[in-house]
Amino acid sequence: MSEPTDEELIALFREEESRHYGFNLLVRKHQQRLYGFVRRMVTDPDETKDVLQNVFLKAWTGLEKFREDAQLFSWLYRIAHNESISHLKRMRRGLFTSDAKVTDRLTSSMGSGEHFTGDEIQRKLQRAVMTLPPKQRAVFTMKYFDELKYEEMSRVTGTSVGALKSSYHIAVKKIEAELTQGLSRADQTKPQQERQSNR
Amino acid sequence: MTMKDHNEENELRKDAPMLFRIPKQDPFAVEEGFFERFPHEVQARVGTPQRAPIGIWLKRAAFALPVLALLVFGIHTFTGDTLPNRKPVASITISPEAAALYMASTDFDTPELIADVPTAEWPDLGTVTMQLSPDEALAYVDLENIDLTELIIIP
Repeated sequence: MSEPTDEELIALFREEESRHYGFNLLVRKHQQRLYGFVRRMVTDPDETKDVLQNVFLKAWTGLEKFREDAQLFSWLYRIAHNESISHLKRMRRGLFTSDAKVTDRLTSSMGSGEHFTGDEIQRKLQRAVMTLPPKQRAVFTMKYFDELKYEEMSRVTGTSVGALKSSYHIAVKKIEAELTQGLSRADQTKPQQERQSNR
Repeated sequence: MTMKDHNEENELRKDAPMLFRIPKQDPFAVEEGFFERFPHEVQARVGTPQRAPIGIWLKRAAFALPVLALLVFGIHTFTGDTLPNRKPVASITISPEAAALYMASTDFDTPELIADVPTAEWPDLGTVTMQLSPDEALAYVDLENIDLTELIIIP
């Protein structure tokens, strides 16, 4: 059986008797891609699940008023973007702390192989991404990992294409600097470790 | 790959060579069966009406009430009228010129001006505490012709 189109899903949702069925299919269709975005934003699997549930709860409430001329995925992605950023803000307020401390807490799950299967360079990359402020992290994730077009990103974030290009460019520079620093730190500690092991 | 994508890739290669070399992967592990269970979990939640959890309101109140109490105390302490309420004994409206003429035509001092008002109705002017040096105290006693023996209190 082929996957239903977004128009078909919306039509199913708008009928009272097929609403739950249509929504179930909609979640199945879009959950993985949205999960990937949210997970890269908040890192921790439990927090990701909470955020993603809120995304679909908001979609359930708002789908009735969804305009047919807009793309369903862009609309869902927009909710996921807003929810992720709100969640990070709430976390910072709840912990009475800075973005850096929130990032430390969220990236703690990356230490275990149970939640993170990437190698050391992937770990470094993700840590570098997490040093970006939430909105810039979202821009980088959308462009670099999810390979969205700037026009689509503009619809998701409500920001101009020019501002997004500039934000992405800055984010790339920051990540490169972070990766380079991480590598030079590793190079500095390596000879020390070698000296200690030779003693 | 479009021309635009090709340009973006070249730009990344130039601006961030280290990032460019890292392969794009999804390094995050998802627990087995998560995407099978998740739609049902969402479905279960949309079936029940959503309410703001009471815990959030309790936390907000626990934070807000002491802050509000401090604010009220602060406003009362720093901006409140700390003097007793004073009602005017009597009031008339005259022009400044008429007032000046009246004051010039009389030798009334303050006690004389309120002499006609019964003592019980005198406004509460409060108590004034002054710190005087010994010389100032002696000068005051001398000026007011105060009999010092009256100041001696015998228990």
